[in-house]
Amino acid sequence: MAWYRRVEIPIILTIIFCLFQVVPYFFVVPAWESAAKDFVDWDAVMETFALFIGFSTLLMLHGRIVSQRRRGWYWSAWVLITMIGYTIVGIPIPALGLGKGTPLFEAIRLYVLTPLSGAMYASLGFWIASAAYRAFRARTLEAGILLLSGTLVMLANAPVGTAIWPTFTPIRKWIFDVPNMATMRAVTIGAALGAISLGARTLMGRERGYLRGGE
Amino acid sequence: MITDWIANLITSLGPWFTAFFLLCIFSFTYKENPWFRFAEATYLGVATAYTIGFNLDWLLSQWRTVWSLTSTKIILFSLALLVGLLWYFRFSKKYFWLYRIPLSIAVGTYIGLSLRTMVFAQFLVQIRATFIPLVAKTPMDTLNNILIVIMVLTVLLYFYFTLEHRGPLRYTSRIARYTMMAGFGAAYGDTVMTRMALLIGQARNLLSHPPSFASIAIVILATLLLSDYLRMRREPR
Amino acid sequence: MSGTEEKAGKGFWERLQEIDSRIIYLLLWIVILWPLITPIGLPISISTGTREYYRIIEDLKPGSRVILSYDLSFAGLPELGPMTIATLHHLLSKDVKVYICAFWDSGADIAADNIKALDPEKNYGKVYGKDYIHMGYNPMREVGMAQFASDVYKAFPVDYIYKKPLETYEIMKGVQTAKDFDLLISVQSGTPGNPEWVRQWITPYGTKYIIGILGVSVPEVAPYYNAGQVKAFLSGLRSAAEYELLVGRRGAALAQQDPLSTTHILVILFVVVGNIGYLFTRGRRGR
Repeated sequence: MAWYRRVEIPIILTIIFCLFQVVPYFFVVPAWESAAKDFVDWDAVMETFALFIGFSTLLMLHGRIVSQRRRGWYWSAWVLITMIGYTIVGIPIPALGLGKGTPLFEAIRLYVLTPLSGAMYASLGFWIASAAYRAFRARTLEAGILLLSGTLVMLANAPVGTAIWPTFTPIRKWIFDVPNMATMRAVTIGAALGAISLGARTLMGRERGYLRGGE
Repeated sequence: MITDWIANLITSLGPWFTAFFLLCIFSFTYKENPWFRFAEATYLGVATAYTIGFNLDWLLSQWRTVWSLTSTKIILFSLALLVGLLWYFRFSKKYFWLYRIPLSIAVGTYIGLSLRTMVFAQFLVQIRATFIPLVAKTPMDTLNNILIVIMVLTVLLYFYFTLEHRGPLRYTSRIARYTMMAGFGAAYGDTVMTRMALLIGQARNLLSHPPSFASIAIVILATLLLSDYLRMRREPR
Repeated sequence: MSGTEEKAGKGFWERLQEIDSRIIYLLLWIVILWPLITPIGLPISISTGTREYYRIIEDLKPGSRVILSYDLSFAGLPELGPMTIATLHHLLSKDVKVYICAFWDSGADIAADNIKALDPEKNYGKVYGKDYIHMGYNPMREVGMAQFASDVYKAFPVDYIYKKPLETYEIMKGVQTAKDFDLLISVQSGTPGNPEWVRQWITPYGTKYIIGILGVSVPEVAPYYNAGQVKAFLSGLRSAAEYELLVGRRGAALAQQDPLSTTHILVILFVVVGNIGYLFTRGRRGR
């Protein structure tokens, strides 16, 4: 393999740019600190140039479905039409009425994207209701504790619950402050340990998952 | 301009567009159907393009206000563009190694910025906050503090998989499970509130313009019922 | 056993457990739409958490510099939208300087919509660029938050509304880094959000920090709140309604409380009926 294709080069780059940000945080080196801050601006621009990756991926995926006339290809064609169409609307050419902030871009945002986005997440409410009826069974003591805790919190969240019995509010607060907080603190500590060890492994060059791919 | 004309058309029919797309998505609750597939495909295309439009606008404002001011900055911006173009070698098997260059710069910068404070913010501060007095001012606070310390320790031990959960660890893992179930139950209760709140919000949007809501709902429901009826007629008895 | 015989063998509870999901969805639609059309008007009590959030803003000294960061998506608008409007209304009602920004692209647009809806010049006597400013959107997530903390002008070179350099505005005099702000408020619906702000602002600079979050995010915030990193928070639609009552601005959150009650009661009924049915059918299968 040619030397410039070796995976050690990106690993070394990762280490250099990581230490470039970490060192000025712990040691007072004004010139380095200023350079690190300036680099973040440059990095912001560099990373933003990746904005067409999602577009390209969808273009390739759905383009393949359309060209091979696979099942449901007309939906893929519509994805491509809307994606390319709205991208063109988003290209900043004010003379043609295109770009962010123009009436057409904002109209599509307000009356197409916003309701679709809202509805996609709102429809989860139906599955929650269905799951509450079909799946949530107190088969074991643990499941019973989960259901009891959930029911008490739901009664505290609903105004009718606290109107019937105001004590639901302090009960909810206790569940939040004690078992929930303890669980999430332990999870936060564990997750932080995991992230720190992953970062350390990446810096040591042992974690190469993010570099996988290619030949 | 034609773009303004289209924008005015969409704006004047705004409530109809809103009701149409909302009901298309919600029609999934009856069954999978072409209205839903249409709305889903529209969402996928429009959401992807929105992010592009936004980021293009940001890049342009950065160029105008920061990077086009001096020749050094112009050179640095061009360098950012060249390195940024290497992202697209992700799609090439042969030149995939070029994609790793901007990726390693981004990952290294991100790890550096997040790791340097994560040790304090999410590790040390949280551990320090668990050192609470086991004898507090009131009996309830005393009980709560004791419970918190026991619960945090047992849940931490629960995720310690180096040792098998036998002997004393069996009891700590049981306490941990009960703690986690109580915690996750609270999470479930709050999740119900969020999902219902989002649903109620969209229902309010539908009700804000009753003619569009009613007429589109009737059309969609009628087509779904008709398709069901035709399918039943076609099926052999 | 034939299909008919099988059906006859099934009891009431067994058949109830196999009910068509569409009936569940229809019941849900009814309990949502009915109280929206004919409101019930149930009373709401105000929790200590919401009072803490309100008090922190209410106790701001004149001339304080407050950041209001819109870190939310369009999807989270029904629950977080009322919070953002009520918070902005509260801030504009006081003699403080408001710096609006966003680390989600949708957040910048939502902020602009909020400013348009509240019309600060007409309703509050505020001047853009002197009393409040919309600094725009930074796409760099946690890296952008770090950039914002160390140099405001690098993170937001121009304002969002007029696209003029930020340093030309009077409100930006004396502002350079995170240390120059008195309060950070973030209304957030995901990542980047709470952990990122804590890592890049609260831990290094000790900025006072309060948040508005979705109900589903409440468990994750608990350890930060308990450790004092988050001073107060609004959790979901219920807290938003309580806050609207406190600031005296009845809005969308209050209007949605009745269907919130009915939907919760329905879900609890589903859980109870489902479990009763399970107990009965488990007993039958055991025989």
